[in-house]
Amino acid sequence: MKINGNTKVSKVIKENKEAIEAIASLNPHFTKLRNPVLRRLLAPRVTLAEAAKIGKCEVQEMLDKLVSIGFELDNENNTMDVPSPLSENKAKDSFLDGQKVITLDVRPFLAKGEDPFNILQKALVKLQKSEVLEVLIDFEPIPLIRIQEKRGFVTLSVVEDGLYHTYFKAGESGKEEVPITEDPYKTVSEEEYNELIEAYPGEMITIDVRDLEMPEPLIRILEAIENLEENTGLKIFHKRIPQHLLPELESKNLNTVICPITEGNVMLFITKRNV
Amino acid sequence: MFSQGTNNAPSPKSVIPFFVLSAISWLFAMVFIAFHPNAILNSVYFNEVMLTITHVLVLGFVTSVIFGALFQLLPVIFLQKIYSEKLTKAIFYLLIAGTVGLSLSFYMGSNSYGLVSSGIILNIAVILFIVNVWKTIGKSKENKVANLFIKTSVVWLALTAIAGLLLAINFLTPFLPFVHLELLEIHAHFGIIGWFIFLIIGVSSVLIPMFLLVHKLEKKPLYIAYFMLSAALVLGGISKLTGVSTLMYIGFALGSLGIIYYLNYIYVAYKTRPRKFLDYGLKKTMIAFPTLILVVISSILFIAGFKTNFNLSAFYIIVLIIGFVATLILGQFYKTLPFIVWLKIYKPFVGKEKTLLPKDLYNYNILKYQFYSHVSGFILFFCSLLLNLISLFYIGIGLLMVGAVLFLINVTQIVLHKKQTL
Repeated sequence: MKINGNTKVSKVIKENKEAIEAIASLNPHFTKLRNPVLRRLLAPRVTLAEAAKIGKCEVQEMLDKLVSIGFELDNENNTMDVPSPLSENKAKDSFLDGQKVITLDVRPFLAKGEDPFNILQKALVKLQKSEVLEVLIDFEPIPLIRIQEKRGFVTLSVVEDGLYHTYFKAGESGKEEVPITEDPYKTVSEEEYNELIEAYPGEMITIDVRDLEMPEPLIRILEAIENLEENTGLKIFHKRIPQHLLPELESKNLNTVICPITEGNVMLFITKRNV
Repeated sequence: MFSQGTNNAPSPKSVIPFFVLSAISWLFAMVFIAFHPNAILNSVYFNEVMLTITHVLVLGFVTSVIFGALFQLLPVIFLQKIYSEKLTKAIFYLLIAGTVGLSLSFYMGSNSYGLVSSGIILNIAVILFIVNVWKTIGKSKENKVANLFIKTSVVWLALTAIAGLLLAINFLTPFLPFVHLELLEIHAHFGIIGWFIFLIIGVSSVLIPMFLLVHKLEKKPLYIAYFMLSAALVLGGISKLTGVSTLMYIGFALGSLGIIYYLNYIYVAYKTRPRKFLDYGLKKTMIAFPTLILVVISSILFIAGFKTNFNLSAFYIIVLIIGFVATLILGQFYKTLPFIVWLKIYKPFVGKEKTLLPKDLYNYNILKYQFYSHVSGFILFFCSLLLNLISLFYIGIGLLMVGAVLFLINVTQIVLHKKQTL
């Protein structure tokens, strides 16, 4: 697989699990990658170049390490420049001018292996005008920043004594009515669904639970998932978007695609997430 | 891992108490009826015992289980999370306090202070319930017909509760500019048709096809039913308040037609079902529907001025509550409560080990006997009313009581179920 600074960490890990160890060995900042919670939090949303920045190492160093375990370097644009959101103290002062700072230290949650997202989310909802939320974290929380920027927050990250201070405040336009975040499952049109199925490289198991009474669809699907091979996709014909199943899929960290066709006809496609 | 809260299901703890209150109220009402045959067979049907029984049934048994079931079903039907579980719990305590208070007040000579204070409590419960339901459904685009019926039903519930409170206040200090019996009839019809029937149509429009595994059904008859039943209630209400009786006749005609349209929808679902075998839970659900025909016939006879031993206007209301609503609820209990408890206990183990199924949580034979005693019970009970036969009355109510006891045994077994491994 060809890689460069723009390649997503998740793709790299998906290709070769050894990459986790390879990157983690680079420096202590990356040992977090061994923590599955953090890995899921970071890997799908961060490119190698960004990851290098989080871990405070050179992109080239990381790429070299990955090349050493069998990845190929995509030379065409590996010199891609990462926009640096790290700002000077001046920027920080003007960012915080006239604002009240509320500090949230998410390190204890990360240490316990918990997802800091909800905690951050709650704190942001409570945030008043002319208040800034300061998040203390060991690495630059790029995924969190991206999501919140989409929702209309303005952010700024500053490193002080090896600790990241990321500031969030409501943007000029105020909070946009963007749904809290992307769903843990994707809803697609019938066309997209069919394309996805056709393009799926692995094997596929199909089950039809439309003619079963609750909770048998739930049982059948969960049983099928329990026996699902790493590269096998599970294609399901269902009557409805299965409300009791979704939280299970989420906790099992599966990729779920839902395609409602008509009332009483829904297709689902579930695969294991390799990240 | 960015949790989004896809888990829309409410906590079982906030739902199950409604079911338990309901099952206990049903048995209580049956026992209570058995001890007061005269109050039932008496032609003066707005007596205190009758009012007590009615409110135990409509609030303790029906409204309670509807509240509980809705909090469970709304997330499934509309793909939304319940707006507030704290409200759900508050509603339960207010409902139980209001129901007990109101029933006691009626029984103790219609104590007007008790009626007014219980009425206020119930109105608060209803307001909180409406907030919770409307906020939960929100802007959901799912199941439009159900959405329409359910949202409208809670409006009728509010009007019923307000009318009830006005009646109670009128007991305390008469202020109504017309005979309070007119408002009482409005109160009863808004409650039974507007609240129960609208809600049942809304929920059953989704659940009945779901249980019968029917996929595509024409929803148009339901829209027609909606407009006819709404018009019937509005016309009936205006007729009572203005004294223009023609409007009431039109209302009865429209209401009957509306129910027939709904029955036709259910009939089509039943006839085209791919699943031929029905378990006793579903049998019990389905046998509720033909009683609606009896309701339509007796209401038409009543409006046509037909005289029987028993007041027909009370008769069709009784058939509606005990024949239709109660039978449907007793059947659907077996489709909802075991599932709720099963989800709580067994869902984490599904796929990892063989688990019991919801139907393993209760005794199927008990359900079977409950089915037969209940159905034969209400048939004999209705006959005893029309024929004014006290012996038949005791047999009928006795069978209903046996059914209620068997029912409570199963409900207790379901609620107290502990995890078993196969």
